Amino acid sequence: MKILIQQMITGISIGSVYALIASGYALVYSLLDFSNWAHGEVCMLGAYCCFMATMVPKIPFALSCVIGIGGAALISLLNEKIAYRRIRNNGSPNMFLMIAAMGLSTTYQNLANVIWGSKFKQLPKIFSVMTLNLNGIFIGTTDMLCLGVALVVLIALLLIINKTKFGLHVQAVACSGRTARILGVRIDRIIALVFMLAGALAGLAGIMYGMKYNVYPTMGNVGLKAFIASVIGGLGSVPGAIMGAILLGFIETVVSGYISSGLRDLISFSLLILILLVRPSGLFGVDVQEKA
Amino acid sequence: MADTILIVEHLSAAYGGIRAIDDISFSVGRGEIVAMLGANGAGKSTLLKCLSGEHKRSGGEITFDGEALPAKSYSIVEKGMVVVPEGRQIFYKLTVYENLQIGCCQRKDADGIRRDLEMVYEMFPRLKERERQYGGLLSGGEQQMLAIARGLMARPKLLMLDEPSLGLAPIIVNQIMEKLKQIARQGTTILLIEQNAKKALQICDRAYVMNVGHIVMEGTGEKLLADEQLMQAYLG
Ligand SMILES: Nc1ncnc2c1ncn2[C@@H]1O[C@H](COP(=O)(O)OP(=O)(O)OP(=O)(O)O)[C@@H](O)[C@H]1O
Ligand SMILES: [Mg+2]
Repeated sequence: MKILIQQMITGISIGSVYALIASGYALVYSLLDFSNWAHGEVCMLGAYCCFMATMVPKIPFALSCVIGIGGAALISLLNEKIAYRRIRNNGSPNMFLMIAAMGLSTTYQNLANVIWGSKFKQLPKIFSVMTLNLNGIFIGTTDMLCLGVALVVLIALLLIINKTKFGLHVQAVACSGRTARILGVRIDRIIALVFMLAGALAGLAGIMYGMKYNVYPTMGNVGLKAFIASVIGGLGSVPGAIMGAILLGFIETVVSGYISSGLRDLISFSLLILILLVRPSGLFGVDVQEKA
Repeated sequence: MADTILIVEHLSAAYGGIRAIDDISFSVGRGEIVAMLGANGAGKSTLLKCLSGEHKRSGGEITFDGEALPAKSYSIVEKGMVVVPEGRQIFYKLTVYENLQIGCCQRKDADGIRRDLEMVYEMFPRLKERERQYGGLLSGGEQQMLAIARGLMARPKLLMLDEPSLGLAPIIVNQIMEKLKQIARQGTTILLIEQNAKKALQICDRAYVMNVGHIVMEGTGEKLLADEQLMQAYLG
């Protein structure tokens, strides 16, 4: 029982890192109806930005984190400004956006390989060596820190989307970009801000992932987990993506703990296929249908 | 016309190589209701898309309120020209209230917004009753009312409507037309695009008739209403 609780917490902790990536991915999907496959690489580049900053003497770790988050936001914004926006304005089909994103993803991975090599880099583990002993339940402090920060950030994100004018505009653009535009919403600005927001969340996730594990060029593959989480929760839904991510983290940890860590990805992807087959609108999808 | 709010001169627009509007000119006076009539495919919606900044024109000049019309939709809305699009285009996942908030997305005057919200709720009490309901769950008539109210929330000088009668029962169409007259009386100029010529001609001051990309006729509402031939030739 104690082990189960311990694993639940570990699972929710990694799930909350997935949730940071998945929510940004879902935001972009909701606005533009395309799968941003470069999102995982934004996460990876954010982690490297942070890593680079930690190499500079006298920069405190907190500032390095800000640099990592800011770097990721900037890269995400550049993806939009340089690639996606032009493709949209050309009137090309959405498929082109996805292909461009795949191209960017591979490019960034290779670039990271060239610049930093394929060796693992370490982010300072601020207090990873410590484990809290709560009545026989052992929890890593890094896990706790990630979980706490992620929860605060995700709650803030949900508040931004549901309670602010910016959030309302995001929802309107998600519903119909065309109508929002002709009613005076500055949709290019909204989209740019959403890319920055998604990038910042991914950067934060990258740093957390780097603190839990390592930083390496293919770590952006964690973006796939965010994709699965998004599908579980219903594509384009931010709360759905968060729930899906936490559920996925939990399932993965339990599978690794009780069955075999080798089966972890197998189970995750089987879940993806199963949901696509049985409930393509996601587990939590309650959708208001458009009236013709 | 002493005070003209909108002047369109030699406007042309095309999709790819296909001309949808060919050299049309017309004007709308401040405070008027002007109807633009025409059968399917006449180019009415294309005209509105040019006016709302959604479609780039291939030629011609548009002057609004004494200045050249800006290119970006948000600048056009800011200047006071607002469209109620064809098919209503309600944000179906947003509530009635939120839909109205998008209507005034450019405005900063909180007091004015509150007054206008009261004003549209008074004009369309059904919307107030359904304030917290999803736009997608409203009936067709209620959606049309919401689309008009949403347009009014921008406090436009010129409100342009694309076929507000589309798919609505005659009694609802009459209600909508009455509301348009009321809106005009309160000082908002209206450009009304319609296929339902009879209804539009009854409420408008002047009307133009479009046929495959051209304006083929213009006149006062009464004059065109009396013109049997016109009705038969262009409007069925
Ligand atoms: N997006 C588009 N791409 C290509 N052609 C278009 C497009 N939209 C309209 N057209 C063409 O332009 C012409 C005018 O269309 P428009 O929609 O302006 O007509 P309309 O007068 O609004 O008709 P309706 O009363 O049926 O709404 C039509 O021949 C139409 O086929
Ligand atoms: Mg039309």
